Amino acid sequence: MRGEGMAGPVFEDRLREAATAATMLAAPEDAWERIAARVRDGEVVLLPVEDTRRRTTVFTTRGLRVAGMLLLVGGAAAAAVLPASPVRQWLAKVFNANRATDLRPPAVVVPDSTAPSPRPPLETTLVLEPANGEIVLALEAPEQDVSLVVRFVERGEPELRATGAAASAQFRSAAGRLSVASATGGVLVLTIPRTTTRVRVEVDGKAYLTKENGRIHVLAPAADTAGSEILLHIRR
Amino acid sequence: MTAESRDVIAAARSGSLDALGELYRRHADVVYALAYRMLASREDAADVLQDVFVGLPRALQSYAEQGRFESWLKQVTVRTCLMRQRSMRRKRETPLEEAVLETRAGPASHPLDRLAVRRALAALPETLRAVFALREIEGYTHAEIAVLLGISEGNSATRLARAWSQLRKELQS
Repeated sequence: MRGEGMAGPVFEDRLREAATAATMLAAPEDAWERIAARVRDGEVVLLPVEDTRRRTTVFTTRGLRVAGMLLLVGGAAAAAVLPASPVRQWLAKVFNANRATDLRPPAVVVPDSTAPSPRPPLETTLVLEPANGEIVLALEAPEQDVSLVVRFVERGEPELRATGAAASAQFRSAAGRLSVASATGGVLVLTIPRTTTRVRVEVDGKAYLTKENGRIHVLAPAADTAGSEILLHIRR
Repeated sequence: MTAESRDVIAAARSGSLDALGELYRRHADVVYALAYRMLASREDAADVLQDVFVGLPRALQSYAEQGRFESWLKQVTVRTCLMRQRSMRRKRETPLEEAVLETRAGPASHPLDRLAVRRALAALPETLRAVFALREIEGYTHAEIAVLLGISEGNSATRLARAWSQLRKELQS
């Protein structure tokens, strides 16, 4: 049977349900045996645990940077061989000055190989425990690049998912309250089940969104809504 | 995350096959279903499932244990699917599913036939299907999809609208 004759929203809801159900498949029965055999054989698979697109961009940028450096060095070398060139005069001046005044051995910087390399998490998800039926999300000094999204869902637990730079922010939790400090970018998604009666989202102590007595008040200076989501813009 | 989960993850990270098996038992269905939603092919989804768990002990070295393990694992799965899509663009097959296959949700209980839905999803271009699956089935926001797929939020919304339009045309015609 097809979806002809259904009104738009009804069709979309039905299709969403159908798509979820139709793709809710159990893993093949023999998959674990194959995985275990490959692991026993010592096979190595490198998974993309970091953003591969960003890595590609870095590579491209690095390539351009190297090309630029080579161009500069090449140009400077070419200029330095000319007898009356200002580059040649500048090199001679610097070389003589260094020889005359700086006879100390160069400082040697030994990298600390024991220091752990900082690797920011890609995502942080925190479950919020309401206190007296209320949850408070408090953002402290967030950058304007932070996207703050509040989603209302039918069921589940209240949770905050932070991705991108926001995943490395500082999180502090107390009864019914989660504080997020030093979020420099990325996305914060606060998911609220409809059963949570009271909600307050604040930025630097100022209320951006509240839910009370079944009513949602958007108090942020700027906000967009799309379906069950509200995007709150950080403004100072 | 429970202490038990932490122990299992730590053991899997240090190479315990038993611990890896435990993680597989807990999360394999989620990984497989997500891969299927992204790739619309059981064969490709099974390959991704295997690769994810074979590579998991090493990948866990970079898992910061700050969030839900399953969220992190799903993110790794999406990226593994994207890598696979890129490498497979040379020989794209149309992975239409053969028949109504068993699912954990039991028999169809709504008026949209599952086989028709699977076919319609499989017929979507992969860029549209990825956004549709992440947004409408997995529940990610456009902002999260943008980070995950390396596109803008506007692009994500546009792709979703196009996916809906194509699905509507396919299933309501």
